[in-house]
Formats: sequence, C-alpha cells, structure tokens
Amino acid sequence: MEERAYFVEAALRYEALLEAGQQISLDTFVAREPAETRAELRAFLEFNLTLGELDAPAVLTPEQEARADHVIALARGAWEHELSGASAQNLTQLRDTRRLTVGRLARQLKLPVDLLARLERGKVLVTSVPNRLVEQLAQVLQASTGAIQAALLAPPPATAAARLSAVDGIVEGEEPAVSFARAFAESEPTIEEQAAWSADLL
Amino acid sequence: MQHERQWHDVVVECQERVQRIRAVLTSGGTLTPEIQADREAVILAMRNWILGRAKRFPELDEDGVGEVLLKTIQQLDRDLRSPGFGSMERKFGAYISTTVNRIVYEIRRNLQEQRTLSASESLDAQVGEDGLARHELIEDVTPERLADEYREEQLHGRLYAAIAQLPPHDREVITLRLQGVPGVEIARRMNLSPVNITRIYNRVVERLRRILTVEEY
Repeated sequence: MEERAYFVEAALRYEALLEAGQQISLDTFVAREPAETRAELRAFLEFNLTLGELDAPAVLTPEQEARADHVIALARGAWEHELSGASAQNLTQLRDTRRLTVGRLARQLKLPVDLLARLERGKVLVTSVPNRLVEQLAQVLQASTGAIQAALLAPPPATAAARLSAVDGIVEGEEPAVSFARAFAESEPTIEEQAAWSADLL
Repeated sequence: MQHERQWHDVVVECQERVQRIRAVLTSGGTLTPEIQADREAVILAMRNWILGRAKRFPELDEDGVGEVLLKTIQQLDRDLRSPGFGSMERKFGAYISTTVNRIVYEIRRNLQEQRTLSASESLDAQVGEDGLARHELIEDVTPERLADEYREEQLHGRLYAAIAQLPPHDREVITLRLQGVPGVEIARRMNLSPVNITRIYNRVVERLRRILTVEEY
C-alpha cells in the first residue's frame, strides 16, 4: 500500500474503533502500528481529529473559480486520454518519441531550457502550467491536449530523491516543486523568451 | 445546520456513484463514458468542500490550494481502482475528509521543510540575540577554524594549495568568502542564487577539510 493510503486507512480504522465505542487512546492505537510509522501517524491522527470532516464549502471569486476549473480540466483531459485507450506517457517519453532534445523543444516553444527540464522532472506545479503551453506542446509533439495533460500528471522519469555528488559525496536536498512563474524567473529567460511568455506569468 | 444537511446529501450522492464506479473498476472492468461521468460528478460535487478545507490554511497560496484539489482528485482516482479501499463505499464522507486532511498535512510539512532548508542554508541570515550573520557563528566548520588544529603557517600554505586545485567556479566562491564578501554579494557577482552559493560553499569547505585531513595522515 502506498504511503498516503496507509495513513488514510489507519486514520479511518481508528475512527471506526472510536465510533464502535472502544475506548482506545491514540498512544495505544499507534503502538500497535509498525514502529517506523508511529511518530508520523500520531502527528497525523491528531491533525485529522482536530480538523474532522470537511465542514464548509469555499465561496470562490471568479478568478478562483477559473483556477479550480483549470485543475479539473487537467484531470478531465487525462481521463479522456485514458478513455481513448491510449497509454499515458510522461513528457520525456513524448519528447523522445518525436526524437527531440530538451534544448530543441525548448527553442521551438521559446521557453528557457532549464524550465522545460524542470517541468519534465515533475518539479513545476502542474496546476500553474498555462493552457497555452499545453496547447503548444500538443502542437509541437503532435499529440492531443489530453495526451499532454495526461503526460503532465504522469510520474516523471525516476531520479534519486537526493543527489549525491560523485566528487565529494555531499548530499543535496530534494528539489522543491515551484510554480510555473517562479520556475520561469529562476531559469534566467532571454528577452525573447520573456516576450513570448510574459502574458502567461500574471 | 444548513451545511450539515448539505454535506450529508452530497456524501450520499457521491457514495452511490463511488459504489457504481468501484463495482466495475475493482472487478477487472475498464473505464467507460458512464463511469467517467460518475467520476466527474463526484469531483464537481466535492470541489468546493475540498477547497474550503484547503483555504483554512493561510500558508497555502492559490497554487497550494490548487495542488490540494489536484492531489485529491489523483488520490481518489487511484483509490477507486483499489480493491483494498472498500471503506470509501461505506463511509465516503470520512474517506474524502481524511484524504484531504492527509494531503493538506503533507503539503504543509513540505512547505515547512523547504522553509527550514532555506533558513539553514542562508549564511547571511541574522541569528541570535546579537544579530550576527550565521557565517560568523559557524567558524568551527570554516577553513580558518581548521587552521587552529595545525601550525597556522603550515596549514595556510596547504590550504591555499588545495584551493588552487579547485575548479574555477568553486575557487572563486571560496576565495571571495575568505575575503569576507557576503554570500548575497557573491551570488550577485556570479549571477547565481544565494542558496546555490551556500551549497557550493558548504561543499567546498567539506572537500577542503577532507583534503587537509587526508594530508595530515
């Protein structure tokens, strides 16, 4: 069972025991779980019990409404791609299929190559990727927008969580995922790249 | 009270759809337009409840709130196909609430870890009651501090010989740092981020320490 599913399942088991009238403390419950999960499980159970069930639907501004729709459209695109029977490929696989290097694809999209590489590594928040980039990727990679949306949601190529330098053995921390706008700024874009994407960075 | 009734109604509706979806997907069936319609209806019914929970946390910006929604959709998608997750058919309200709470918990933890990492990596951040920069308080890991363990004149010669062997990029960082140039200024001069400068500096210090320690023996 994947990690998140384990914690959710354990929390549901604990709630079920309480609902069944069993007087069982958090500590007693946690002590029965695998040793390596106990500290985190206890902290999460406390957090979960404090928050309880979803209790208030959000009232959204038109802008927030559009963002939420954008997220659901991403998932919908990926589902439709799945429904078509096509297998989900990540961006790197799609690019490789077209025999394009990251640099060449970046030039075609007028994107900084660092940003595209970061997107392929899964370190750009997918929800912040502009629709225009999805459409352009579909055009250049000769794929449907659904295939691109599925690719953005597919697991990226496996890489080590932390990088170990072969020279000196120093471990560097895992790269954080950041928004498209931040990744763009950190990629030191050229004037031409800035002009091409500035309208999508607002 | 109004919300409680609404929540109950929404959960009942979603639970029926979840049962229909799982009856197909957990018994070897494949995705059909009808199942997709049910799946999308569940997401749309839950959308604002999920966002309402995420927006309770001011540290989550709009991108963070969007991530909670996306990760919840992805997790729901996985669990709908998982034979072992039958509880979502019987107690969908508890399932979806706990899943959203878990995702919020993970995202907040990641944000905290990133903040801690950033703070620990900034050599120029002011710390302590005296407002000293961190690099002024960690002399025990700098090359200068290593010099105390050796005869100073011998060590300095070996230290600068070791620095001369470094790649140009690393050599420039450590030389400027030893001249007392702040990390942010080095970052500006070399057109790199301060975090990168700190990483390079820490790596070089460790490498020098190892070179000098090996030489000692």
